[in-house]
Amino acid sequence: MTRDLPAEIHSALNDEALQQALGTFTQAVGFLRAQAIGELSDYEALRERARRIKAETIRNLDEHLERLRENVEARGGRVVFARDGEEALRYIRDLARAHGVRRIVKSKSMTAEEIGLTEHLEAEGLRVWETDLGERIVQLARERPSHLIGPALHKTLEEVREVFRRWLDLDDPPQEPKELARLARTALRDAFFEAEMGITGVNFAVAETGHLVLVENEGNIRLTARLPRVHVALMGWEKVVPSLDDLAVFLKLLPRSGTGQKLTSYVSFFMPTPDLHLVLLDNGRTRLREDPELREALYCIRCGACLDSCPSYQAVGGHVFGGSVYMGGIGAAWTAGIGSLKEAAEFHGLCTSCGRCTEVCPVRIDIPWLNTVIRSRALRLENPKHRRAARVLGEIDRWARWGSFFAPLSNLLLGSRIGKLLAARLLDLDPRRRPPKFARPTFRARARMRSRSEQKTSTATTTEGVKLFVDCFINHFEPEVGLATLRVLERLGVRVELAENVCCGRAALSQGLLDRARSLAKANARRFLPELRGGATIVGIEPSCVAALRSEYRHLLPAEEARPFEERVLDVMEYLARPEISERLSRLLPGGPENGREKGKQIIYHGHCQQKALGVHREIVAFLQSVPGLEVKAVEVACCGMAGSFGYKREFSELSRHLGRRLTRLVEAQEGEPTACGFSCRTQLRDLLGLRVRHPVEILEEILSQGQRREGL
Amino acid sequence: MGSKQAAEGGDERIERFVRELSQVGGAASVLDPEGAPSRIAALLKERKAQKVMLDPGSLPRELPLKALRDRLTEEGFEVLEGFGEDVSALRDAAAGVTGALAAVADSGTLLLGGAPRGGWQWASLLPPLHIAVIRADQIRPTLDEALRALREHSQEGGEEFVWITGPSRTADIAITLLLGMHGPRELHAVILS
Repeated sequence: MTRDLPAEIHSALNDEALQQALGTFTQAVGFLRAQAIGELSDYEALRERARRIKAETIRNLDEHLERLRENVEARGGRVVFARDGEEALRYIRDLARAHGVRRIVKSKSMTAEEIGLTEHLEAEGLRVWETDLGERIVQLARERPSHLIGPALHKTLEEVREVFRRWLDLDDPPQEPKELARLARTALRDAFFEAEMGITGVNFAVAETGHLVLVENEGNIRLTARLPRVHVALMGWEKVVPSLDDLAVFLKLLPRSGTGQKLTSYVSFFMPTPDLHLVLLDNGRTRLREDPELREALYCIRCGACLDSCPSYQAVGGHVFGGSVYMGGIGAAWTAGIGSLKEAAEFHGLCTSCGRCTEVCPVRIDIPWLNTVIRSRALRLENPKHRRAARVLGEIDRWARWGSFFAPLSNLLLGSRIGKLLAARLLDLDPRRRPPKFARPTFRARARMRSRSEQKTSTATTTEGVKLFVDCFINHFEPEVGLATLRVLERLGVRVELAENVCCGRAALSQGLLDRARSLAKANARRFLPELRGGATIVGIEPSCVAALRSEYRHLLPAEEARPFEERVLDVMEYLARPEISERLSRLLPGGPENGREKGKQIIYHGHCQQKALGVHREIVAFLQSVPGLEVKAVEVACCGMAGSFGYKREFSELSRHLGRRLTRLVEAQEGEPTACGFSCRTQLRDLLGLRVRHPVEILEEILSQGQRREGL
Repeated sequence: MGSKQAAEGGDERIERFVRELSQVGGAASVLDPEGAPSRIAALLKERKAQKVMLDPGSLPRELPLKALRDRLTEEGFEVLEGFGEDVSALRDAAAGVTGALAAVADSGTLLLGGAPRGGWQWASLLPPLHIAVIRADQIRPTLDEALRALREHSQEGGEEFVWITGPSRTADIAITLLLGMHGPRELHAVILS
């Protein structure tokens, strides 16, 4: 590996100006986007349609491209297919020569970045003016864009002034952004009138009419496409859409998702003219198209919503979380798909699989899954320590069995200086992290050992029953959470049976051990499919395991085997939130604050990333807030930064703590006991706050047993 | 009675269009066609404009074009019309006056179109002020309807379009929103009622 990611992360986290810019930009856009999306009554239907259109278009690609070519050529335009960057560059260079072009204006295009267009043309002795203000600033600073739509968001006003000082030869560039922009307008206006060729990208090319559709705010694209005598439009072929009706779907989604605008200032529908040269670039896209696991990366419409919502991106920006062209989680997939796996392997690890991106993606690309696939393929490129770590962490279920068996000896060893040193030396784990403590006996054993009498006193009077999925984390590290779950469910009259499951495969997935995850999924499918199909309900405690069963099995099992898991596996909090169950709980807790003396129990609740990804977070918060005697404040933060093993890895330890502190700052500003559903989240909070953090079900058990004691008196 | 209701619906639509347009940094005047020339002249005078680009082909027929031309010449403006492919003469125009094919109330959008590199494109793009004259009944409620309008025009063949939603803008310097980056800094819709 050539990059030193920990050093890059460190310098990004300590760059105050960058931190401020990222904070301002991602929060502002996040807020505006939520507002703009909120106005769409049919948002989910639009996303579904957008996804279907992309899938269909890419499936029947040749047909749509052929139609586009016919319509462009019918208006006299030229259509050129370029297999790779070199072919595209050669065509554009020769075209410039043939037309005696010396000066070129260009409007920001990621596709042009992809093939290094500007550098190439400049090396050929042509003058190339980038005309998008942000991209121009980046070009003059000899940097790369750090965001799909805000290429220069990382540049401070001072840095921009410095760029202007050199560009326009000014002694003292103005302090006001407005004045700087005016200077840029004047300078670039000259360029527009002088240039003989204009090069733009393309957002959408409509096959049925031949329109090239470009979405922008500045107006530079309109000028670039229409003022010079030759127009070159460079587009990745995935930008073709079949019809104007299809286009309408994307025009509703792109500006709203990208900048939170209903529409950008300008949406141009350029009609091909005889001076148009449409260069359709492949450059690895066919390879991506033929790759069933990464194919959906091609659905990307480059709005950047995934970047703004990504905790890692928010913290370090697109230069660290990115390759030479594309950034963020989707950037890893593009880099792996059209560039090299090796380059993607250098930064894909920054994806914590939290799923915030998929929630906001207008075409619902499963970006965490793409990164899981990359992780599995990149494993062989990793250094021996990381490969070893992947095996150890990804097979936690196996190791934990021995860990619990030999506890407390195993804990003494792992917690010792030597243990931590070995973990650092052999597995590149962060020696500052306390390893989780193995419990003996395990949850499964303790549940079996519980006295019959305890079960008898439970009010299990109804016939409804659930299977409790025993995840590795509860079983080996926190049996008390499992026991609390059992007691709460039983007090609510639910018959609970421990599921005879194997590990769900979450740990293997997060290390990229896809084969192992697949075989675990198959084993669980064999055990549970008949029951699930018969209407049984599986309840899980650890949200990441619930999410593995519910939304990752569709990648690991045939669709008809994955569906029952999707439909019949519930998070325990989600189960408790069901009206008939939560009403029962309310009846058992009539009091709440007693005699006006006592305040209710105050808790601070941090929801799990995967609960948010599954769309159950809000109902869980609402449920907790409805529990009598409980005062719940939910803290909203994208991710706790622990994300399974992410926070244990030395590479990411600093970032993990940085993200964790965003959470603890909010927690510390509130009164109440911090709680979290996720094992990772509890670990992170424990490490940063220095106290044991409970699962909310343990709080419920506590107030239920208090209620019981009061009744008994 | 039916027509009165329709008129009320239309008023509401105009209001919504004006509100949305002002939210994206544009402005609007609603007046009868006879009042339009003096309103346009006043807008230009306020901005000390000298050269004005006029795209008569796109202007609504209801606008008294001769009165507008006379008025502008009287006031001492140099009126540029019928510009072809050579646009260098348009570089220092201070304002462009165009019509529109339709408008969208939901988003404050103007739909312009015509031949590629036509006067509508330059007049709505090059000068710092763009004045778009539309009839109130050209305002459609939603984007889908505007797209239908676009489709109708598209079938006539060879047309290109632009949807304009507010003035040109950027936030590329220190995440500060600025109007008038490469296109007009001001967008004014003159709505003929």
